[in-house]
Amino acid sequence: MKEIYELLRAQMGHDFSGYKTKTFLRRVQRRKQVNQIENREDYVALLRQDPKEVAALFRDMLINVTNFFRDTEESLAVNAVPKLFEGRGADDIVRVWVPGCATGEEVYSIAILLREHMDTLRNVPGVQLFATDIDDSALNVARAARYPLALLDSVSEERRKRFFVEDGGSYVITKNVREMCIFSPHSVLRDPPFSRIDLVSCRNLLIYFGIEAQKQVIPTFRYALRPGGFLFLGTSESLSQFDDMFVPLDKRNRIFRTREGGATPILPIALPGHQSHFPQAESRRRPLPITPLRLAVETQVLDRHAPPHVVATAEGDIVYFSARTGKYFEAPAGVPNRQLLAMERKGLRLDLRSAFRESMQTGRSVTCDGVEFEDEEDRVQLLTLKFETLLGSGDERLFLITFEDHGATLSAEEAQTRPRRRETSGEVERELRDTRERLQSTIEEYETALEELKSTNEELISVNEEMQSTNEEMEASKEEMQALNDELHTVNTELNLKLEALDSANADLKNLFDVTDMATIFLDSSLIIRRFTPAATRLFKVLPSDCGRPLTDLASDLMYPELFDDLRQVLTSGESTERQIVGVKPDSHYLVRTVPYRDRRGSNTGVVVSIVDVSVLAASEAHQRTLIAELNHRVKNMLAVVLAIAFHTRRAALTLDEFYPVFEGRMAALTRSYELLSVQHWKKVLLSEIVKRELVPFGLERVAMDGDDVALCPRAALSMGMIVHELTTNAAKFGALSNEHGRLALRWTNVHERVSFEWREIGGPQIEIPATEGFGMKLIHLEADRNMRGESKIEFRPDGLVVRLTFDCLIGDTL
Amino acid sequence: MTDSTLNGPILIVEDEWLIGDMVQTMLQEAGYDTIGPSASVADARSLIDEFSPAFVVLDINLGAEQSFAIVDLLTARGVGYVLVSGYGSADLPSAYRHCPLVEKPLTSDGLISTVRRLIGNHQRVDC
Repeated sequence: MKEIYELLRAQMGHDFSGYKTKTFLRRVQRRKQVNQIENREDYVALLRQDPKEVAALFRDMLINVTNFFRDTEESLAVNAVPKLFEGRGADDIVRVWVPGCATGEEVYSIAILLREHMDTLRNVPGVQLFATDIDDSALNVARAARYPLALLDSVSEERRKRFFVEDGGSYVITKNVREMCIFSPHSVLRDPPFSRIDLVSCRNLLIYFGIEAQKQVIPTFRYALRPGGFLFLGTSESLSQFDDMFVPLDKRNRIFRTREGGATPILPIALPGHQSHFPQAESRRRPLPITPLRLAVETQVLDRHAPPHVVATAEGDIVYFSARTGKYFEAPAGVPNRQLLAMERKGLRLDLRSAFRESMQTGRSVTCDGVEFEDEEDRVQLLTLKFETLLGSGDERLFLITFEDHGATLSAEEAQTRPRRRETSGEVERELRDTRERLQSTIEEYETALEELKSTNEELISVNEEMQSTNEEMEASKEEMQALNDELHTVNTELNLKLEALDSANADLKNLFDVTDMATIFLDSSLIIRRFTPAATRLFKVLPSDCGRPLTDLASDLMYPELFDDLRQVLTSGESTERQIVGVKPDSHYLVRTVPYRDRRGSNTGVVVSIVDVSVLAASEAHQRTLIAELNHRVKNMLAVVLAIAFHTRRAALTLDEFYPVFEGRMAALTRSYELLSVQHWKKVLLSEIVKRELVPFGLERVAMDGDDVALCPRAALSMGMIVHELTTNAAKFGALSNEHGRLALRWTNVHERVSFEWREIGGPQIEIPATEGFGMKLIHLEADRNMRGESKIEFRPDGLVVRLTFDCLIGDTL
Repeated sequence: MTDSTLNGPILIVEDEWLIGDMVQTMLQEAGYDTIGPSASVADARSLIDEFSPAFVVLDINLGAEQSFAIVDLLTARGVGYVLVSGYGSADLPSAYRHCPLVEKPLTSDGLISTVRRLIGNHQRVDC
């Protein structure tokens, strides 16, 4: 068995030697059965080999049956809980320790009770439940605070609703209860206890402990509790011989309260198999609200000068011995006890018993004078016994019994014994002093340990705080993440909107491309086609699938071998070029503009080629050039005609004065014809218009015109203009227009563009046939003959001149 | 004042009779024998064949037709000529840009001095 204890302590760090042997062996037996091992030695061998088995055994050792709300908790709620909070303000803290908390049901039960009571209070003090266990896995369960419904049987519906949150089939303790509890690994036997605790609830842990362990643990609890603190045990557990430390508050439900002043709040030394016991006097070293000097003085006075005394309970159990009481008491044979009456030396018993009973019954002080008793040497000593109720002993009635020696007249024999006795007491005192010194050092060590423990505890609490703040930070981080997520959503929405805008812009661009009908090709810096307009397909053999191919791969309708040199030039120089290029198709001309493609930062990342079909423009330019040349030609021809007219007119004139009016008249006629032509945009001029213009100065009432309107081409119009001018001039000079009553009868017909024109003068002076043909007659002949592909016939009749012309009204050539 | 150096008449080809008559008068007054004016290519050909003119003054535009065929004929026959036109040399078809040309409007001095110079040149080349 020792080997098993050793193995467990070596691996798991816990010493089970203090546990009940029967329980321990039963657990070991169970493990043996599980592993199908008969022999204990074999099992020990297995434990040595397999650390897992050690852990399994450890876990089995810690089997705990816990549950929410056993019956007895309600008693705790009624009897103890209100007192825990009595006189506590909001700044105070109620501290509860639940050692052996296992999976935490008991802890949370108590926490719920406390919380329920706290809700009835106006000033709510802080509450801390320190829940400890040696089993980390159980603690993890407790920390999670998550329990299946089956464990909640004894939880009332109201509490279930109020303190549990359903989460996926299991129930989780609410946060306000969970936050009251601090879980930590801790061994009641091995580790230093908590202190200044108001309630220790240790239920069904002691039953696993052996007597020695119990003897260690209960004083530990007494130490941990502050005065007036409560101890709550399991129904099958008892305080055994430590009932002097605690007063039962509810015996049936095992609720105890520390006995004030009676027991020693001294930390037992944790040594297996040894229950520590310290002289009561040392208890006075605990901090009390008096100065150390006063304490020392009082201690010394009490020790040296006060009469020896004891304090006993109503049952007669001694709970306090003063110094120098040994004379009056003797340990009885048999099981050690502290019964007042059993310990009395012979001779005192009768008196004590009667006085005790009297005091008990009356509640008053009782004094017995002259009591005789025999000491060890059978010498008689007279003394006075005083019984009185101890004041301020709280719930329990305690009695102070003092022993006062009287006279003490010593006989000779007594005189001999006294030095011996003094020697003996000197030895005892020396021994006591040594012991005290050792104790002192032990206490100091303990206090150091306690300080460390406190600081550790504080560290634990601060770690907890840190964890909580970490948790809060994580919550905050979570919120930040949430916010970030929201932002991302917003950004995404914006992005979508922009994408839509981009889509519509793209669609607009596409429509623009389709509409412009201008061939445009976008190239990147490697002259790869990025995009092109539909019009580009007419000039380049390019398909939509050609995006991504170099432009150099494609054939074009342009006779533009320098295209690629120009593109590279644009790429390197960043300056655009413009060329007029002849196409492969006849009469096709294109304006090719290569412009650098600039991105938003203005750097040159490609080339845009735009090609405009300028065939029409080129044709009209050519036409314009032709027109200008033609105009030039015509002007020169005209001047040539003018010069020729001047030349011929000069030859016919004898003097300059004779020349000028004739020449001027001819120029005027010519001008009139040109005016008519220009009004008609050099198309067709009506024969009647030509005649009227020439004859207007002479009065159209003298002219009779008969014939449908005939339209003359420019050539014929000009010739007719000159002919009519010559005829009119002649008539004004010699013929019908030279007198007052002469008239003109003009008649013409048009048959298939062949015009017959008759000029007849009536009522003019008698005319004669001229001897030679003048220039006027020559002009009429030759104009009709040469320029109008016609004929002319001039008759000099006595009653007037008759001229007949036939000519083509549409000669159709240029001038 | 007949120019005895010229062994043949000067043919005038001009569709505008006003100008043709003027040119004829100018050349006659300068002492040259003239034939024409002829107003069409066909007419001009027959006159050339009939009279073997020693020199030709010819208008380029003859109504609807142009007289380059006559220029070719004259070139082939080694007959001197001068073109008369409202066009400048630059406006002529490239094959005829080098041909001697007097631009309209004609002046008497301009025409006669050009004709003289060309006849002189032509005869020196002949010799």
